[in-house]
Amino acid sequence: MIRKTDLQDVIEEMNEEDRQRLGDPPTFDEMLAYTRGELSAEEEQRVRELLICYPELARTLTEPFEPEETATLAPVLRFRHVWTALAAALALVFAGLYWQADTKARRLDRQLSLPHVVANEQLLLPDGQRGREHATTLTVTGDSYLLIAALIHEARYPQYRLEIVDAGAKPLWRQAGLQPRDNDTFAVLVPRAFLPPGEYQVVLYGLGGPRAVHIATYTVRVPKG
Amino acid sequence: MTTVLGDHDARFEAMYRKHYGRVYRSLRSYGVADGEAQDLAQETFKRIFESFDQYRGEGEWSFIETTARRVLYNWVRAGNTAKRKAELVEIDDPDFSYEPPAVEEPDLAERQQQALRKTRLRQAVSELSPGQRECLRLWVQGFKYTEIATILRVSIDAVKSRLRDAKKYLRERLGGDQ
Repeated sequence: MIRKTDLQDVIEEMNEEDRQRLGDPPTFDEMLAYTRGELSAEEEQRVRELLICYPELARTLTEPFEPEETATLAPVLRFRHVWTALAAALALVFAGLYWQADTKARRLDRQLSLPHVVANEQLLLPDGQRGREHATTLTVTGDSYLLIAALIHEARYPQYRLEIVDAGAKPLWRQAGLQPRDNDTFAVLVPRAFLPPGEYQVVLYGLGGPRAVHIATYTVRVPKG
Repeated sequence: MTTVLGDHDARFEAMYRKHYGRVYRSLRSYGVADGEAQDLAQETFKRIFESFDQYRGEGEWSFIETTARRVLYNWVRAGNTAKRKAELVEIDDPDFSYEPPAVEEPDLAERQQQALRKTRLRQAVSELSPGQRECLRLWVQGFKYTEIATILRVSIDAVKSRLRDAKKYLRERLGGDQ
């Protein structure tokens, strides 16, 4: 095994001997000429040997000076460039989403602003009170669904909140501050385009205390076609 | 004439303001102490000012960097030359009264062992090819591959190859030594 300290001692001995043998270190102009390959072979060898035995001088040759301002700025510019691209991509995504939502909203607005046939009302009973049926299948007869959610609950609340969520529990619509009609139901007119085929839940909450109290869930299925 | 001189001074001042900090930081990063780095940076711009008439306005930083390296190099070189030419003091000079504190030295057997190891190592290093030996010497002194390549004016691949061969030779030659 070779010990590092031994190797360092040996190299230092060699350096000292070379300094004695070769004399003074090269001048800056000699070193510059050496780096540019402008010296004779003999001179080149001498300067090389001198640089080896004067490591602190060799270090002035290799030590990097602070890079150009432009080089310092480059990462910042690249960083800005990346963020600009990211911002542009995000802007495009949001623009797409906005366009999609806007188109849908316009379509619904148009549907609601025009005379249209209201389908037969669809009475919704809370889950667990429908017998064997898992969900109420909505009948497609017009351009809207009139959902009638029955309030079958003994406790009363000052206000209620209704939500429609999709199969992944993602809220699609929500309205608070509701009061039941005289016959203890809530009527919600839902444009047909709002509910593509699939399964949804209408969820009713009672409001009045510090927390909303879940009262009932009405699962509905929108058939294809 | 005033306009010419004024323009000359204004250009120099602009250069000084733009690059002084950078020169100073570069000198500090080399390991020069604060005050000396200030002096060397000042010296750099003094030299630039003196030769500013010959400067054609191209490669501004390259011109400054070369001047700063020259100033740094001469400063380091002066220190080395001064050390080499320092007056030697005879050990029994009556004026030489400083006695360093005794340090704990290894015992005789250990010193002999160490001397033997170094002799063998020195012999093995001498047996390397000049190119391998040069790379090894710089590497042991802490230079990186790229720096060794710059100093020796060879490719990095050549440095790696020479170092690999040198280490292999030394291991084979001295591997059993402790």
